[in-house]
Amino acid sequence: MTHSQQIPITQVDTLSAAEYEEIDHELTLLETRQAASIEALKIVQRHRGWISDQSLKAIADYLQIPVADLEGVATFYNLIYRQPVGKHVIHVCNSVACHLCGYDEVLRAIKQHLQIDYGETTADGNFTLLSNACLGGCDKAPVLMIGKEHHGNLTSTSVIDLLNSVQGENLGEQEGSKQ
Amino acid sequence: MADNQLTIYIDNVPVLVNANDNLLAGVLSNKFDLPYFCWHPAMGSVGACRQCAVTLFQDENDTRGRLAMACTTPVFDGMRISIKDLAASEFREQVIAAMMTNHPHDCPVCAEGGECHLQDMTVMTGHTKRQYSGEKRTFVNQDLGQFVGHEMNRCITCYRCVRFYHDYAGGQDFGVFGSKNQVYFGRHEDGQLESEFSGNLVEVCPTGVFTNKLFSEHYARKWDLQSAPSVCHLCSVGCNTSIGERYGSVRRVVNRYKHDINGYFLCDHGRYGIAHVNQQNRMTETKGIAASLPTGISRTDVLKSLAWMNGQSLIGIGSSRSSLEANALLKQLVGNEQFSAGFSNKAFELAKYHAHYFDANKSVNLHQIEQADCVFIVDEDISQTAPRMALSVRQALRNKGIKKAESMGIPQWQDSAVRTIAGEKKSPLFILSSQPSKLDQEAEQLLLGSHLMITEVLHQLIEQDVTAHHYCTFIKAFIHAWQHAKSPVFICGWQHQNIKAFTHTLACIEFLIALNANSRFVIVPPDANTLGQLTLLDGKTLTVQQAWHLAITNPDIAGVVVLENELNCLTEADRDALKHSGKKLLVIDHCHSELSHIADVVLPCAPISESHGHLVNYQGVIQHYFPALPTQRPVQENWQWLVLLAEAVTSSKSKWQGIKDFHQLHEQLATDIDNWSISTEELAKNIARETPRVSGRTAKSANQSVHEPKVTQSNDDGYRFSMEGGKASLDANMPYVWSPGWNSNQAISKYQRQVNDELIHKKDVKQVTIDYNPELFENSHQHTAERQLPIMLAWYCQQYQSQCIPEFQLLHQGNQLLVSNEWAQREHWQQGTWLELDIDFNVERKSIMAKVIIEPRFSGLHMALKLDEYCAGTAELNSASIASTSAIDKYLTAKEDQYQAALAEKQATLVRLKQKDQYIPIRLVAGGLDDA
Repeated sequence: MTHSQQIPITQVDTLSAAEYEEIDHELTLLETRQAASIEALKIVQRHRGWISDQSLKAIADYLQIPVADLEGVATFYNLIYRQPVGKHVIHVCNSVACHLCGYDEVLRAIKQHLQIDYGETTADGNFTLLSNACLGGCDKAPVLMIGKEHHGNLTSTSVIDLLNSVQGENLGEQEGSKQ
Repeated sequence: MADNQLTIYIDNVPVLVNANDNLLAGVLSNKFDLPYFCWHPAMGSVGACRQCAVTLFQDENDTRGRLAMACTTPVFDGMRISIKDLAASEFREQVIAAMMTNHPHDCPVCAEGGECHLQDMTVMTGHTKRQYSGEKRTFVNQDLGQFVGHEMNRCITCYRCVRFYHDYAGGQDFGVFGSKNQVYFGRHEDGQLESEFSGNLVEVCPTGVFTNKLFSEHYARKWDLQSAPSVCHLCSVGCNTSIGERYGSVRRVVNRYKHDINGYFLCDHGRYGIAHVNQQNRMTETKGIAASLPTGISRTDVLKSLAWMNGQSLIGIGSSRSSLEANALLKQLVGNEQFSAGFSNKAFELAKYHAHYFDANKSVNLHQIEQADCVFIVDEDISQTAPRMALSVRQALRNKGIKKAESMGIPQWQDSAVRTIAGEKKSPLFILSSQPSKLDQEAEQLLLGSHLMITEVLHQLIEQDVTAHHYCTFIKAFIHAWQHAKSPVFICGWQHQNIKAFTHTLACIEFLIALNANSRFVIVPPDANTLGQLTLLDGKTLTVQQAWHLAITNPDIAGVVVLENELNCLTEADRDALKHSGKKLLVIDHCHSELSHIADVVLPCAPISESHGHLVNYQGVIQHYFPALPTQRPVQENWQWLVLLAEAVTSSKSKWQGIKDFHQLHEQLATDIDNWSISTEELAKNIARETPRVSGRTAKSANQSVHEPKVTQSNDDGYRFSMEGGKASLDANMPYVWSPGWNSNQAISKYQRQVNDELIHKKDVKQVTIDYNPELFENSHQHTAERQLPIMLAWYCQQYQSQCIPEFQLLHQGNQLLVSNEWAQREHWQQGTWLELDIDFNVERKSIMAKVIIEPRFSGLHMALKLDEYCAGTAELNSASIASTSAIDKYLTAKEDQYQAALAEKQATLVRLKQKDQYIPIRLVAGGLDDA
């Protein structure tokens, strides 16, 4: 019954005991299960690097909310990744202030150095490049964020140094958090 | 009226507006033009689109003012605003300009074209020049199943779709994804939209993101459609619809605003179910009538062929899917003693109780259900049997939250604020049922179990027995909620045809009134005209089986006339017995059935889209439907055939002979029947069914004849098969809705007294009275409870007529047997186990396959059977065994074959309809067989 089967039985991942435990903790703090959506997504992403379709379904099941609702939350926030990302995610601020202070050169330098475009990951799985609407660092424009760190007052040369230093930190540990 | 109205000044013109509504509603209520997108009259304001900006002045001395979004601005007495002010109108133009940066220029291929709210609003703002030269954002569209097309590039991000589907209708498989300039409305993955209300997306979307797939495949512009006001014939709610036709085939059904019933929304059964009139099993030929001329049969041919009827006594079996007048006429024709209203033995018992307990004064319309603050549903899955009613119940559940918001000074129209404040707060809903339903998760208390359990719970409820049993939580909570409610509503129905549970349910009514004098009741009958049939019952009325056996055994009876009824309560043996008795069988219907195949005479009648009549909804409200297109010979309206039969039966000088049109029919019925409740006098407006700009009037049949055909004449109703005539808005029954500058269905606000109110041309509600007072006695014959199998049917399997639609058949999911934990454990059944069931369906014993679904909410030993096939009521389980692998394979292969056959049928129908477009029937007079 390939066609007439209306409800696709998609494989649902089970979350790990650690993930359940952390989500359970959030649930004790919140009024409704639905309210834990963002935290649950963050928890699973911390463990797995990104949110796969299966993870999304597993979280929705556990929170007892429709997948569509959770997908709405997951895709609204740009720090929840719905595709595999590299070890370091670069969020380049593309708002007005940065545009006025040299965003274009900085971006060109990054793209050239890493040989990737927006939305792509380097072959070694180290960097993913994404744009970001205003990081709130207009006084230090142009700005970008790598992981949780903000870096401001960038130039086309300083940004390469920055990338090199981030890469250097991880030399030796080849594991990477790719899928 | 005056006390909640206040005066505001719009461009210095004083107008009265509703104090409890927002400024935009006030402006539109006064018939001013002000563009908007995200606001919807039934869904309130969220302020998402910034389109309805006006200039709001401090006082009469303020000349500068400030911009305000009308939909999110409350009104106050003496308020001064300007629509014309330059700042406001430039702002509105710029909002559209911004939307247009991404909106594609694909209007020529867009199904919304010509009735697009976005087109209308763009013209209204004066944005007429393309200025943007950049790239447009593009999306990948989704396959949303059989009914709704998806073209996300057209989206203007008004959020109406998700607010309707998710917030208003409770659909779970639809959402909004992404952010900023990449906002996407759809499902989390491709697939059939699960809500019964998905088709409303087409009307709710202000542009062409969501389109009617069936309509798009066989398409015509709105302005080219010939439309008629109709009433949905697929359940007992009686939603008002508008049927659109072009080139002789029905194209679509859209919602027709009816304040008290459907408001702005239809269910998918009503919207897409009309497709049955275009299917292969439509009857277009007579059987058993000899034509004397090759051109087709004439009246004389019919009378000659039916000469055997003359002076004979006949049995007449009517139907609750046929009109009130056709049934009444049939009863007149055969006489009280030989008339069956079409109720089976079982259904007739329910009908008696329904007639006894029916009280128009204690019944509620859907608008009133939406005001309820406590709802109790007993053993009727209205989400499938009367979906539009379930949508109203969903709105009723919001009342608690709305009240809380009100107490904080937030008016109801502030939609997102009210929903946020309400949170999980809901007005109480209690469900006591033998099967799960889509409303279950909204229920405060839910009890699912056997009919025996239902009767037990109801018994304890009436006794107010809250002592020991595990139902006491339910009963306690219920009694408390019901006593404290201001307008509680009780809903039950015929669905499972279990007479014992039904009588116990109805017996509650008295108790509930004693508990709360404001209690109101809804009894949901199965069909569009069941209530009409109740008015025809008297002490002599027969059940279907009685009538059938009388025909077989009584030598004085020459034959049986069956009106639009497939008689699925008869067994094959019954049908054979009539054949062998030598009695004639005459079937009047518009679609084939097992009965029509064995009939001696078949007279094809017009379906709802081509005929006149009245249907009586669950509340007893009589509603008139009109044909969207004339019938094609030899198809006749049901009453026309019956008049002819009457002539054949009685002598040539019969009173029926002179009846040529619908008015005369009603005059005759009024003289023959006491208290005949219908008059057709007011129909004299001659409204044009076609729009004034319909194209091809003189050319559309040029491939057949270069002579421009005369339009079909009909004296029957207030409408013409023409573009000439009175305008659509002359009557409350508008064939289509349109107003200058407003080509979409949003034009309705021009014809409402005020937004969301009654239509300006409102008609008085006509309700039937039921005088029938049968003797009630409890049926002693009962089944053993645990073997009983309530049958669950999805909405697309609810009606014999519409179940043949391939798009509906493509939704079939396979039979499922829902079992309680207790059953599963006792029988060692696992979730997903395939069983072979031996089932007694009352009329026949059948072996069917079903997959086990464990329903943990079922209490005790209880099962329910979800079927893909149309079948009424409750069945009995004889035995169940684990199916063999080969049996499963056989079943799945058969299902796959059915699926492929439905796909092929869908394609074939489309090809046939498109071919048919080339041969537009030319018809001069819509008056009978002999009028060319």
